[in-house]
Amino acid sequence: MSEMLFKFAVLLLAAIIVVPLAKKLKLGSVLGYLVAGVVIGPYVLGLLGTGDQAALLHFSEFGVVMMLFLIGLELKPSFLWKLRVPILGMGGLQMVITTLVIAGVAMLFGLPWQSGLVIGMVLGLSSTAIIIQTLSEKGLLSGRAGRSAFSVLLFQDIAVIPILAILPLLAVGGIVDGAHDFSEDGQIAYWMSQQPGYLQFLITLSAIAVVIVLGRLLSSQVFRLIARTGIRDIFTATALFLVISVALLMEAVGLSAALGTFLAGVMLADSEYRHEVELSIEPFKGILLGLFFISVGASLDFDLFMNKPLLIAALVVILVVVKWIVLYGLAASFRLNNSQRLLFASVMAQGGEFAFVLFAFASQNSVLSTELTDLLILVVIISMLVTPLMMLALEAIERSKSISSQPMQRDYDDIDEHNDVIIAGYGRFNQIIGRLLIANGHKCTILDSNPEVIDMLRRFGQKVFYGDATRPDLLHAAGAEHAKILVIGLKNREQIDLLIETARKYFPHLKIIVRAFDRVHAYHLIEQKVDHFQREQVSSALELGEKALVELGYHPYTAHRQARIFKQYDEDMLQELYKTWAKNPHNSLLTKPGDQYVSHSRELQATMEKVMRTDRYNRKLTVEHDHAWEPVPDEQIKVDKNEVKVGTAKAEKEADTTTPLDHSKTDSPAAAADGDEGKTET
Amino acid sequence: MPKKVLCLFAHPALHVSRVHARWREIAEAADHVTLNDLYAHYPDDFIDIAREQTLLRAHDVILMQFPLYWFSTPGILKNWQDVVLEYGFAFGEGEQALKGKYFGVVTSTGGRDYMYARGQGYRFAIRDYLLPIESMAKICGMKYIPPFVLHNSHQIDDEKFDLHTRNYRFYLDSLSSIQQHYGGWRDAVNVNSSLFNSKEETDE
Repeated sequence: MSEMLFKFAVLLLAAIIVVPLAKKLKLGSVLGYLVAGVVIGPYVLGLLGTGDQAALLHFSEFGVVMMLFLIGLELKPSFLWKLRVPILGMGGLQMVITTLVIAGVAMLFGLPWQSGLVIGMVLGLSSTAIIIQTLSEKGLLSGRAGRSAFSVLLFQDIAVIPILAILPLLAVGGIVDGAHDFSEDGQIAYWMSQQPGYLQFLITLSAIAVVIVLGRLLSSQVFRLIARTGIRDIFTATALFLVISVALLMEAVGLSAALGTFLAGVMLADSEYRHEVELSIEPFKGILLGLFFISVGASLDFDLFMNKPLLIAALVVILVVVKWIVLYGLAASFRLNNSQRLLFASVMAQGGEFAFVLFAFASQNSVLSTELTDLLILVVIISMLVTPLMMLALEAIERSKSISSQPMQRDYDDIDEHNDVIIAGYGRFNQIIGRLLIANGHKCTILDSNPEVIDMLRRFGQKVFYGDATRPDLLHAAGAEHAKILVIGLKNREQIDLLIETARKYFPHLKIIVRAFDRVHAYHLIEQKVDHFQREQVSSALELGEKALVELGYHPYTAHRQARIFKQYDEDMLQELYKTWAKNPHNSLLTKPGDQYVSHSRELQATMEKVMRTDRYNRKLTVEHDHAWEPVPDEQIKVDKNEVKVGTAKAEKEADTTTPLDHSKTDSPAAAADGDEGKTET
Repeated sequence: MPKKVLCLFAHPALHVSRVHARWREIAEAADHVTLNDLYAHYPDDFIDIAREQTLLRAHDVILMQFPLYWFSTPGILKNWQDVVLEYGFAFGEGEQALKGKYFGVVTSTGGRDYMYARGQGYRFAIRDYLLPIESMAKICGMKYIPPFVLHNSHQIDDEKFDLHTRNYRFYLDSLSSIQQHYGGWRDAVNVNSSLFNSKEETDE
């Protein structure tokens, strides 16, 4: 136990030291991990024995599985369908051409065609982990090159299955029956291998069906139940369980676990629990992927390398160059622009992690000799190390050409649901905001933490994600980086404060719009300088109050204006009162407000009443002396007959020029505003 | 001292505007022009009278800029006149805050220019249609500048529109020394014809 923990600590420490360093040097985390692996590996510090890294590799391959699950989560089935052409076209062509070329090269080295074909197929695969990690770190995953890379990787994952099937057939020397020891893979796999072909096929199909049904129908129910308990750990456990069990199931029936979990992810992509599941898995994925890269680095066999340095270097160069040229040509024929082609070819020109498994499998099946597979695995590892370096070179070239990376970063939004608006909390208040925005064609990412609300809204055809918006990672997952507005309507004040603080800290560009509960809450929001707030009941109460005025005999337009004046005055009053409140704040209307606040409030209230009633009085007068419609002509104005030829409007002289009203008595704008009320009514 | 211009801008559907959306930017960018977008400030038509009166006092030239709606201004400008130009502020006894200032209109029409030729088409010129506003300006003691107008706003081609836009900019610029031009402009049917006689083309 303690020895395992020690090794684990060493791994983590290596990562902690090297990865930030690599990032600082702009080398990307992948290279950092790989180098960290080399350093603690058996040939440098020797903190990891030769046996360890193989076991570690096996364990941490699970990081790749989780990564594919997360990628699946980001992809809706409809989007996947859109990718079918590049997946089949680019992916298929890449595999076929690369396989044939590498097989040709292998035969030049004097290998039989069967071995050449095997090597070609296995080396044709690229490293999902390195590519996706590198691209997503640079934000290039959703660009055209990124999507093409993704399509090709997806095809490769699928291609592993037939490769596994073909391998035993290519055994040199003609041993056709599988020599692979299935007992290693567990009893189910062993049992599977004993079954006739059609049954295997059926079982495989039904396993996929299980994943689809599980992801599509059952998981939402389960997550809903778990969410209702409100225990986050159990939610995380459920998400982890889902991924692990799908991976196990897939491996048992002989499919790639990564592919299986990818499928499960796609099935969950439409679920309202997507963001929360993503968050639960993300940290595990990160650490496991890191461990994976470290163990790849640690498995670098220095002894072997020292024996034949030139041969190995030559092989690495051949591998990378062949793959690069094929990929570049492919990108060109699929009409990627030049910088996209370079990126696509450079990031994908390496051997993949599947090579470790497949080469081991091939040597077990006596398709390839053990020495040869050791050599090839070393070549693959070094080619992986080369990728981040090539990316660096590529960046240097791009910079020297002074072409901004802008065109490479286009095409966001396609994979992710990145909307302009994030709505946190979807209660009765924010629903109205949301409906208004949606009705105007603005998609909103809506978050709520009440499963009942989510359930109910689903029935009305609205998409709401489950999650606690106050977590920065959830905001991130909801696309806060690309959003413009955050609308907050959470149920409790502490949470609102927390969310404002979080958003300000991590996503300062977001405009923050908050529903305020009451006046005191509004003061808090003034203090936090949110962009806009609105007390939840003021407007609707005013509208209803307006109807009451109408019932009391007011003309509807007068009632409306009175309500509108009240609103303006009330808002001014809020800002005024805030100053007094800030000197001696009280935190709810129930706690006792300070004396000064009370007297200031009474004073303002009295002024408002005076203003509104004075206006009523004024209106009676203005009706009698309404000058605005046909004003008294000024003696100084001479009507120039030549100036206006048509329809000379002569203002009639108004006999009555009674003393005008003294508007200055009431000095607020609201008062002045109502001074014209009578005119408007006549 | 260059004259300061207040542009009372009224366009209730700026998102579909071609002419005024572009001109608005020009007016906004001009140092001597204060753009007062009424529909933006008062989306519910509730006009802050004190603010408007303060703005009026601070400027020498008042412009109303709007697309011609039913041979008249968009609603908010009528409302603006009704509530802002109060007795005791703009006319009558008391303050005559606008006296001596200049007042002009910038507008656009969907109809072609011959529709707005006197005796043809709609039978009246833009200046005739805007008589109520001209009279309002007179009552307030302001010097009325004939309208600056662009006809055929929906179909005018880009080249002509560019020309009109340059003219609009020139018009705004010359407002800063309006007292020198006023005599020559005062009696014109529209400012375009008197200012840009050489440039003026008919829109076919």
